[in-house]
Amino acid sequence: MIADLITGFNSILNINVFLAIAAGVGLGITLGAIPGLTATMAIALVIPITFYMDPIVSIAMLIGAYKGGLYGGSISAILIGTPGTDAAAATILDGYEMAKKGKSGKALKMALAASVIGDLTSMLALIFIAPILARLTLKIGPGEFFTLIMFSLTIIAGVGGKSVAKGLIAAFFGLFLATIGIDPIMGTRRLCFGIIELDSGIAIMPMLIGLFAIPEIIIQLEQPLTSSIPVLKTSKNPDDNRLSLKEIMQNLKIIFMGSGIGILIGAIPGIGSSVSSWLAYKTARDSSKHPELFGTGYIGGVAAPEAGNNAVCGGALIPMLTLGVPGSISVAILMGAFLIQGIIPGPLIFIEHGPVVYGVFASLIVSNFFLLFLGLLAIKYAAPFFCKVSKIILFPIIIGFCYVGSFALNVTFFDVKIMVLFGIIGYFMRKYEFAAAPFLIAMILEPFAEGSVRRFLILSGGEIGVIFTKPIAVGFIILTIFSLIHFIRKK
Amino acid sequence: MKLKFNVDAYLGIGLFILSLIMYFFILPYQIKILTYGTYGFSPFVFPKIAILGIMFLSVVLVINSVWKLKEKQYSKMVPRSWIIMLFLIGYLFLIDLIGFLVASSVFLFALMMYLNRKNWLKYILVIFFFILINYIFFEKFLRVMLPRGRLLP
Repeated sequence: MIADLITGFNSILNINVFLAIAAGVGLGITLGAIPGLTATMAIALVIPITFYMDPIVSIAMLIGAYKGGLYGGSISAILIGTPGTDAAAATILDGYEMAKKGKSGKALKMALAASVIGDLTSMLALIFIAPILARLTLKIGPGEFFTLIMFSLTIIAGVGGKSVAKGLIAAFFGLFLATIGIDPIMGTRRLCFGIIELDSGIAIMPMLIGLFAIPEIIIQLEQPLTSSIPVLKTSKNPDDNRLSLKEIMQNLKIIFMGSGIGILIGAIPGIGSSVSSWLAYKTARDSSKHPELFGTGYIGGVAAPEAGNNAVCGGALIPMLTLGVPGSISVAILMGAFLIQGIIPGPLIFIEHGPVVYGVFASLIVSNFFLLFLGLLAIKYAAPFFCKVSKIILFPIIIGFCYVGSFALNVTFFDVKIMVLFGIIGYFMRKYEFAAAPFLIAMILEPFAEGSVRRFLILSGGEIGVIFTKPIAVGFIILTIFSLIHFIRKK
Repeated sequence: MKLKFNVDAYLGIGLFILSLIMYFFILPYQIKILTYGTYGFSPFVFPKIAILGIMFLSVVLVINSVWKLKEKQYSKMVPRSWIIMLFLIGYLFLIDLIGFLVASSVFLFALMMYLNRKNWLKYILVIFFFILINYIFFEKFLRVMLPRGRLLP
């Protein structure tokens, strides 16, 4: 494994990869920090740029954008008390209080330190756990795989939204839309309505850009366009804007606890970084000797959620890489990027694409240093500007980038229409609380689900009952039924 | 007990009707089976399962919302959101007619002016840079021909 990792580092030692990572992280921080633009949107907007690069460079850039976005959210959370990203909502509690006391510099640096440490821990967990898990999952056959997908979709639909029925409707809608195009086994045209461009199915990437950028912009623009919230003044005392090594060491326990929570939450499908940051905050408060300090501008209250939300990144990549099942929207988008590059995540990924995967691992570690470096630069020079950006100028420009980006992916105008269509569908889904995660993940997983069922039926001679002779499959079926009952009773 | 219908119930009814139409009028005509395999199932199965799933769940949605009698509150649609959506669709047509670069300058300026009419000089400057960046990055650097439009040469 170590040897593979060294080869991985060798493969990324060139200026293009480093530039791509730096650009990804930088864009991620910027977009994450601007209120209303989320980490997910940062990835969606970076996709068109990465399409023309080779696999390692493009995936490194996307993951860089994801990490940068997760950290960037804390900048506006601390400076103006508005989370740049949902995941940074817990950071406001103590971060904004610290800023009110003039200690915004210290809070921002603590958030960065916690993010970087949380991230690094989760990357190490990923690098050591994923190959082992992949070896174990090699035993999973098509029947088991299908039941696993059904189980994950149930969990994602149940946890993600406010209503289980709506989450499942979204999942079925995703399944349905993914069947459009030429059927993979028999070559029959399905639901193409005579449109030649639909033969290869609805292109995932323009759909993603539409689904995650456009609704957010419409929702932001329909609110009254008030002038931006003023950034609080920092105190003149240099100690208030500095973060000492001692302070990091004092909070190291909280940071590692947050990281652990983040990795675990990340690895479970459907939960994601906002839950993880709240849970990390609560755990840190409950286990602290001075729980009363939390919420009054206590530095540990910044460290915990930030470590918690960044650690999700590594955790969430574990099931995606080893099983081919993405647990959250951002990771589903990353999986889409892998698929575009012809790399199919799943148990075989380490065998078929070992060098690429270890190259990606190496770039994950490198991107951490970029996060630290660019984060410090952002704190020093750019942070207040992020919070002052004019929505009226920025959002139309982003719409423009969505159009040109979805066009450039495959150089067809049809994709731009798809992007706009899903932008509008996505807006109504947001409005009426149909969760986007089950929809997107069902859509990405449908070809695998359908393929595995059909392969299973061919192997079993057309007998669906054979599935009950497979213990792992039966286990997943029982888990699916139980979790369905659990979600229905809970809500 | 007085039955009260809320947004969710209407959503459920709408989805139910839509899935009925899909199931009986669209699926049979849009999927034609050319050959039958020995095993496995036809290309019909997955789309059918998906539609039946939506149909069933939309009934659940209606029952749920009627049963609980809870008034579900959604944030209201304001005229501005409809107008922005019209802008988005209009932008599509504009690109088709007059090409990406020209259409973008028209669309962006119109949308910004619609949102706030104060800083029009700033808008023009920003739009100029937007066009320039796109032209250099896509046309010159990536060599992607941006849409030209039917009306312009």
